[in-house]
Amino acid sequence: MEPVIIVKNLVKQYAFYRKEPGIKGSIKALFYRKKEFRDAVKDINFSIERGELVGFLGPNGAGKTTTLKILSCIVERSGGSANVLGYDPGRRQPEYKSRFAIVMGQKDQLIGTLPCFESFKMVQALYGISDKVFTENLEELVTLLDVRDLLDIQVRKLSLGQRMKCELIAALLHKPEVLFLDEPTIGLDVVAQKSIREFIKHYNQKNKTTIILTSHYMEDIEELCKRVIIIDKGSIIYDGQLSDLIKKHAPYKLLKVTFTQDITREQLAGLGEISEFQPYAATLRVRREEATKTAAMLLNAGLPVDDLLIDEVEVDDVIRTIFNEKR
Amino acid sequence: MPLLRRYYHIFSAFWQRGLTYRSTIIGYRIGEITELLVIILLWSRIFEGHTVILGYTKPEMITYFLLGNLFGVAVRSYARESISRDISEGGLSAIITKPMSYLSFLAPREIGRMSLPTILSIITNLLVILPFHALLIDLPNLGIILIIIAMLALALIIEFLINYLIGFITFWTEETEAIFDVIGRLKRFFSGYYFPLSLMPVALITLSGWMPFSYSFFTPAQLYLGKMSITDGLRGLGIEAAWIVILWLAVKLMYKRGRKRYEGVNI
Repeated sequence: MEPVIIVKNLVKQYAFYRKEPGIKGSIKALFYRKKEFRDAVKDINFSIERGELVGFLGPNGAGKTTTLKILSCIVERSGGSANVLGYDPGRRQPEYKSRFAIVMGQKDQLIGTLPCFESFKMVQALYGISDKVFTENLEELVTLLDVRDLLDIQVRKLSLGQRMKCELIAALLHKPEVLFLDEPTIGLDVVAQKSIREFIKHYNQKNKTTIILTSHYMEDIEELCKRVIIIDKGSIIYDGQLSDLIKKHAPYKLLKVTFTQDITREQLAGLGEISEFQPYAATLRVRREEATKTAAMLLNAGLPVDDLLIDEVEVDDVIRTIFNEKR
Repeated sequence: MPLLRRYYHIFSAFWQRGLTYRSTIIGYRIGEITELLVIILLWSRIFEGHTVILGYTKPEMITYFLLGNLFGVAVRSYARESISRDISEGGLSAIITKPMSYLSFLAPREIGRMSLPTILSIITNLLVILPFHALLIDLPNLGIILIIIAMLALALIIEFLINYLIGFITFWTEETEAIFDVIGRLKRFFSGYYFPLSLMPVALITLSGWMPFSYSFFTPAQLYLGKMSITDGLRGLGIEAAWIVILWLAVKLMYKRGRKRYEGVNI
């Protein structure tokens, strides 16, 4: 399948100034400021196929949002090349802008003082969407996201979750082929997060929209993305299947046991590395290939086992391990 | 969708937004009424015992300030504030990712934002002026009125473009207040807001004629008072048109340069 997003040796540098502390430093800065450059994105390469939903992971300042800003025509790249749907985002062609959308979880695109329907009408004007297409798409999105009762309420009176649903509608009214989602669930409660996740999943499957998602919530990534790109300090440190990442960087599983009576640590000796212990429950880290055998040993060791669960390591922990290894 | 309809939707959204801030709208109107009454009282008091001061009769002087004020409110713009906010707070990102250019988006948005307060200001001014019509100079002929209207329309475009330029400074520095303040003072001085420009030395009067500011206050007021001819008015329209071309080119250049520096912070 032909990739719809191709990024080659992409570089972005930001200029910044340093100021010495105190009043003296401030006065000095009035006359002379040393300009320095920081690499926000360093020589990154990746390509994404049509309909893929890829998770973009990394700590704050890693370069995730900067990459999305370059692909969505917000900032200019300093080097390398980018191609989305056959267009160079650096040229900012209106034809390209009509085919993608970006949703920024930390930035409202709707007009806060007006009901969201008015913002939707403005989006219709900005994209030049015909009345027929606008009505059809709005109807579909409003039904899917269950926000019919919210359309005539001032945006600032909506909850964060409701607002994000409306932001998604505004972004999808023109049926973009590529969607950049930058932290769409940030600050939302678990119910709202789930509802947004389900919508993204459904929308991606139904419309084959290519989606890049950045999120700090691992549930978003686990539930939505088969493939992840991990970026740290401007460079890609992993690009591949999420399941492979777990296998490669977490060659162990977790045995979570609860007991009917209190036990001691010594009683678990030799069964695996104890990562958590309470007298009535424990978590053991065991090598992947030995998980079943160890579980059987645990059950046959004469311990008062009430329940036993063989679980995968939290993706969060895997990512943290990767970042710690790199530092 | 036709371009005009697209502009209308943007205009309409921001016009409605203007209605949200009712207390602000009322607050500004109270301030304007007070200022107009002070002008009438001040000049009535100054003219006590005098027929002509500095070449102006009392009706001419009061007409100059009241009409000048009316013209001033008709051509004002605060686009600088919203442009500055777009750039410094990252709101620009939401617009530049859409298939309409930011420069095309600005005009309907700013006209939408300003039209309601401007219409209310004009009504407020007229409500104060009309009871004092006996103190004022009568309407000039239709030709002069048409030139004044054209002059104010071009002055409004100039005001918008100057606001754009000051707003775009935010691409380089967030501190646009001082520059806006300096240009604001220059504008008030060279527009004849403080006193009629005819009281200044000839060199300054000539200079103000070549600058864009006097066409929002002094020149249309002088045309109304019959102190300038239709030829002066037409020459003024030509100078305004030239300024619009210069400012538009500067706006395009400055936006192009500034856009390269934009980092979309706060997102």
